[in-house]
Amino acid sequence: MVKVTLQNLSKTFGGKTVIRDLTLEINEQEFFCILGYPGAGKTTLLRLIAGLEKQDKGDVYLDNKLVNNVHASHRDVAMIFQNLALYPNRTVFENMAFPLKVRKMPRTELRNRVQEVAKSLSIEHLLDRAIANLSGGEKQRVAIGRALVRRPQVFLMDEPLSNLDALLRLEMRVELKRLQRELGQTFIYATPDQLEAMSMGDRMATLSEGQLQQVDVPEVLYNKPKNQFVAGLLGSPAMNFMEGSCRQSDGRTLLDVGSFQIDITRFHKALERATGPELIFGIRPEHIKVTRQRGPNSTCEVVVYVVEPLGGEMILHLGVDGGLIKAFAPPGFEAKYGDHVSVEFDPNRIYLFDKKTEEAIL
Amino acid sequence: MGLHIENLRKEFGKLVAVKDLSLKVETGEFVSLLGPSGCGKSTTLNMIAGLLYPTSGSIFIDDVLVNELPPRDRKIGLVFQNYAVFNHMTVHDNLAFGLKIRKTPQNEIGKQIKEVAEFLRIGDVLDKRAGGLRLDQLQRVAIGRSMIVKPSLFLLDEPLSNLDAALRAVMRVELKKMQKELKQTVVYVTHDQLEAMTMSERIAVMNKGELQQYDTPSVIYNHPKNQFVANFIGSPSMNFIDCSFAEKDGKAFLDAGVFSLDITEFHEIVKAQATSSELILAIRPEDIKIMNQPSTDETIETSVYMVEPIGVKTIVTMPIGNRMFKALAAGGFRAAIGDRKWIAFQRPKVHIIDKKTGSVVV
Repeated sequence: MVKVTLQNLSKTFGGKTVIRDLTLEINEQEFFCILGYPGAGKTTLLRLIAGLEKQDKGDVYLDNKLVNNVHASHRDVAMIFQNLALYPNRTVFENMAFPLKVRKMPRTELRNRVQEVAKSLSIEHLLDRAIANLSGGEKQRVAIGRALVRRPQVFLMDEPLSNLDALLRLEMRVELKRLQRELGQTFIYATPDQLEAMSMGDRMATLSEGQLQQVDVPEVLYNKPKNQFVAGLLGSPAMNFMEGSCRQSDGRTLLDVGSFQIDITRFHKALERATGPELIFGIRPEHIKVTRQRGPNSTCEVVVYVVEPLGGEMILHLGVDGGLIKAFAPPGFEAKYGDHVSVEFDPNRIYLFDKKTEEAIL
Repeated sequence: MGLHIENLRKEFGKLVAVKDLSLKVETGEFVSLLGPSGCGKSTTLNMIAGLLYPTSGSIFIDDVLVNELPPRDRKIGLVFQNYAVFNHMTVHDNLAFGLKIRKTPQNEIGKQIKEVAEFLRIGDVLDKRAGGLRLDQLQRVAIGRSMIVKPSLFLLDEPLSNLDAALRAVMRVELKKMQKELKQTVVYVTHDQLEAMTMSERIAVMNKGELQQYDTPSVIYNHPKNQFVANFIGSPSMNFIDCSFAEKDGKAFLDAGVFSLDITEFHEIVKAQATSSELILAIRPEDIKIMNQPSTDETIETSVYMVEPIGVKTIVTMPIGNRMFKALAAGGFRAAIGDRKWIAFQRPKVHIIDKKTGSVVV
């Protein structure tokens, strides 16, 4: 139940900077997600907190206590890996008791501790079963249980759900979050899956090339991304981007995207922040209205390239200026390859990014 | 007719991998064989390709009985999950391979490679060795190699499973676009319901070697024939709860213990088709409405177990009886764990399943 503070952390492996001057504070009892592509530095960051790697520069504090020189085994931190690292031929009990045996805990105390933790995870009935005979979800619980018996102060989880099938992953997402609430522990959870990060995180950070891009509650990252990277990372289907350039016409400011123009005069204050006239226009699929006929507010006409029915809804891939944009079709909308339809962009939900710096302007 | 399968059966010793499967695929149609691992989908594909001999039954490709033909005479293209490309050869030579075997003239080979490479966006890596490519590029090369010999029938076995979610989404669209433009007949094996839903004209859902339902994505999603299909399609999955059929004062009810639903309008059909009074109520997450107060007699009280905001939608998990129900709310929906809520089912979307047979009655 501790606060984790990272200050100006840097780590280099053989000349390659993996973590770049990273400062971050994770609150106690928080479910904190770190989102990034493979190679972004997520695992290294967790290993630095755990003490499995030593940073080149910067400080790690657990509960305001500097732990730079504290060995991993004394940091009270538990790490759970993607492959779980359980002993397949041993029973659940043996697996969970292992860290306590290593610490030479007396037998009765050990037995009580394992049973107590097993109960909290609802795996009491599995204690005598071999790991190899368990389902993916059950194994997950055992791995967490093995970490829990040590009563760690912080849980570090490195893509713990990526080996599970889609259905189970959905279920485990809910269970893990519930578990964290019930335990009241600090969880730091690294994942490449934006759905996991958004659905589980109280707060989250996006990481790219060892650098933090934005740290906030998921909603803010989704609705007010700081830059184009974050905007493109969150959401499925992802935000649509189109290149455009600003020009003045009759005292209005227009963004010229090729096959259409958007009046952005009302953003003139924000536009002062742009380093040049070249901008990236962004709009999420759910903020595009698709209509059969051109209406007074239609932005432009487009051609349907691909129709993706998801069951409850339908995603349309529409050709605009040689590229494709994605939009949700309204309920009951019928469309096929080659159809001409009109789109209308919700003027209150558009995003603008500076093409050079990729920073958000609005 | 692109492909016609009649009473196809495959036994491995005592195990019946494919049970008397009959299926027609029109020329130019995209059909998915969808099911969990072990359902017989890959065995079926391998029989179509000629890599396995059927125990009984017939396979026609372009109206020609091909049972006795070796794979190379079947006019098929094959792409697997593991890219069957020659790592030591350049992309160009990989693409040229099939044409050289067929003794295509040199200038013709060059022309076709240029076309295919442009189509699959691998024109810039033609001179690179395949071993040095990214995963998605490798899969493009594998697809190109099969495509270039212009097969009558394109067979793909989980070709996207090795790619991450973002790349999979991109490749899904490109594959679909390519198939549409070339009017290529495709049989596509996958365990991923989303891939099947988004790409196929028709889906053959298989389980334990048997065809469960063969229809368009929309029919499969909205009118599943049995509980297996209902459960396998859609994410989050459909909710199910055991009920018993009760009659009172000339009315009919679905009694789930914690709630009771008036199903008098289906009285006759349930009485005629159900094999016993044991029924299952099934409802999709998007067809459940969440409310802060009870409205009609049929709203069901519950409490929030978990809230998962995922951008455009929010998944809300709530206990109903001894089951956890998932409902889809709008993106802005907020609630705390433990909040009291009431839910209502959108009545026309409720399915009633015969528990014994698994068949959908309503």
